[in-house]
Amino acid sequence: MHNHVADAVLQQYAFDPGGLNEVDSSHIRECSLCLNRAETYRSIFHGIRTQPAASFDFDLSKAVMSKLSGESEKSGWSPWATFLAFVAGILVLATPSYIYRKSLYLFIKVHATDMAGAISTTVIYLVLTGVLAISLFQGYDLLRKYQRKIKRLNYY
Amino acid sequence: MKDSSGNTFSDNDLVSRVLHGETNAFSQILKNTEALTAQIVFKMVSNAEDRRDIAQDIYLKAFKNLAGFRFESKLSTWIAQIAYRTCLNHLEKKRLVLPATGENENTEEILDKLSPRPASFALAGAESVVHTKNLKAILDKAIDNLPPVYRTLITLFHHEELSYEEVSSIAGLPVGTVKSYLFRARKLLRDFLEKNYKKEEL
Repeated sequence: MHNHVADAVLQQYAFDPGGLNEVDSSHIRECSLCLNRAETYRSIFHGIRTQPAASFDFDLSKAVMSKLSGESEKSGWSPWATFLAFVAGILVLATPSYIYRKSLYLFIKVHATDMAGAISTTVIYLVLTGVLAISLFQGYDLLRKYQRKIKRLNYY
Repeated sequence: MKDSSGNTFSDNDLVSRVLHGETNAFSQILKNTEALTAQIVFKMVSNAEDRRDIAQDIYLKAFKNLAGFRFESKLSTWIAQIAYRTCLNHLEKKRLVLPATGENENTEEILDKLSPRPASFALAGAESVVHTKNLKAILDKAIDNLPPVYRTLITLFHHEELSYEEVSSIAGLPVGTVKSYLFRARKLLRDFLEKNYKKEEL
């Protein structure tokens, strides 16, 4: 025998003998070399198919679920703690300002001229712009983190 | 999975329940898909400790990204994709050898002519051969000698009996490349068996 069939054809023969054309099929049937190779492929396919399935030697479900519960507990209080800290901060700043608002107003009124003289308007604007920009970025970042955590929290 | 009324929950139901806060439903998703995930992890990662960490990582990723599951494939296929990518990242970190990405065009031409998986896999002729006691051990050794990606693809196709399209989806490779890799993997197995064992042993 010469011009043995290609390996892809042998694989196909081993996989589905009916799927080949008659010329290749009859060659394989009559050629001992090709037939042996096809039989080896067939043994390989069957051997793989009948291999025992792999399985984890630990309780994967338990391990994953406990990790998810852990994350749930951690992320469960964090957004609220951040929110409460934010509110508390505002209260700490706003309450004295509100209580002593009259004194504060008088103080500013009396010293406004001196202050204005001491610090140029340009510097004040620059500082205010910087503070405002940083506050905006921080606020946006805080909001994104909060939304992300709330979204995850909702999954539990 | 069956609920109290004996109905089977679909992937859709399970995902929806998890996204609405029913965490226990994820445990069911995990149980439904664990077997396929284990096949991928075992074929790609040889170290038992790494397998343990990777398996957990896969499901934590799946949980965190579940809202992004678009039902374009089976849930098991989607999780298998995560498993495959996670293992692949692990292999790349460990700098383990991956098969070359180049394709043999001649092989491709022949493979294109291959018919899809037949409905019934004719094995009658192989039964007596396969029952040889040593074959499983020989084949195990041969498969262990394959590169991890080949090992995984051939297991998904021949053991899990997934279609070319499903294997392609899991591995993120074109169908033609999957066929090419499978061809090479089978050829390597045959070469290994023929070089290392006498025909009578097979």
